[in-house]
Amino acid sequence: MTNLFDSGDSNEQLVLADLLNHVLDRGVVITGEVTLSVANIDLVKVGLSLMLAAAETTDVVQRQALLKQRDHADVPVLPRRP
Amino acid sequence: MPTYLYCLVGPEAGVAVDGLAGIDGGVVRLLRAPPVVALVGDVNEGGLAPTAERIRAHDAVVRRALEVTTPLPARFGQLFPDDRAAAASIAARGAKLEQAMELVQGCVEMTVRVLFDDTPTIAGKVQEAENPTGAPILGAGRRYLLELQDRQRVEHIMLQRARLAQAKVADVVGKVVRMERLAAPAGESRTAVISHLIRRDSVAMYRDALRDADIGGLVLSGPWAPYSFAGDGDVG
Repeated sequence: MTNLFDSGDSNEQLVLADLLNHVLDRGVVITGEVTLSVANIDLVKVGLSLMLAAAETTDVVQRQALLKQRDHADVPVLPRRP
Repeated sequence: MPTYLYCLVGPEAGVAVDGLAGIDGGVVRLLRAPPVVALVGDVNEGGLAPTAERIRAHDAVVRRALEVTTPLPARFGQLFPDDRAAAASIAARGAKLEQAMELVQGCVEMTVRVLFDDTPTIAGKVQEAENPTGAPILGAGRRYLLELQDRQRVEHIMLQRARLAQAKVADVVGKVVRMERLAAPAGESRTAVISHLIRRDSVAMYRDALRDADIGGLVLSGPWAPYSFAGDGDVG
């Protein structure tokens, strides 16, 4: 694998990706309302009494849960053919 | 004008916000919400588009706090009708927030991205099931399920690879890691993300140890405020 250890200016895009990942998808959620919009169209407006998670995060969690279930419970992921 | 939340700090943190500009150049101020203090600012009514500039501004405020204490960073985009509502909401969760702050006290987050050169090839069960002439013989439902199974197999392999990389990294820096999170690659992604919570005074040792270990495919960033360990993202 390529060694890209340093995260200096040459990897600015990767650092930006990290920044987006941290600020948009992590961090404490108190309550109230998160409203994100583009061109005056609300993209996300969620009452935070419900957990807010980026779609990607939710997807990852669901997929990992499926994989874990397959690993440990020996439950077939797909239904068996009759 | 709505109140925007950047982060939370302890009551004795002594964060200086004079002259600090937040999102859209707005003034950042301290808002007492016992048992914590919030760094907040005003933003315009309406939605808050998550532009790169605003996201950088959010993190810059959090970093100002990180210079003198360990803040509990807030997720981007949290708005309250006014300061009073913000203080009330925060104070109502005071006990949980104190616990979360205690957990990360004196620590920072380091992020290790693991870049894999490739992903496993799709097993091709769909193709195997086709007849030699290439004419489709599968129904749409069965084709979909086979493709789904293939994708899950690939993600399972990538998860195992991510865990292997995680173990390699842990061999090198595990002694200074207090908490760890792993986000394995999903979908078409070839990147796993390992988040480590370490003590502030361990940063140089952590970086040097990983550099000396010369494990391929790693990109290190940090120190960050402990975004990935801020109460698992939900104390509401």
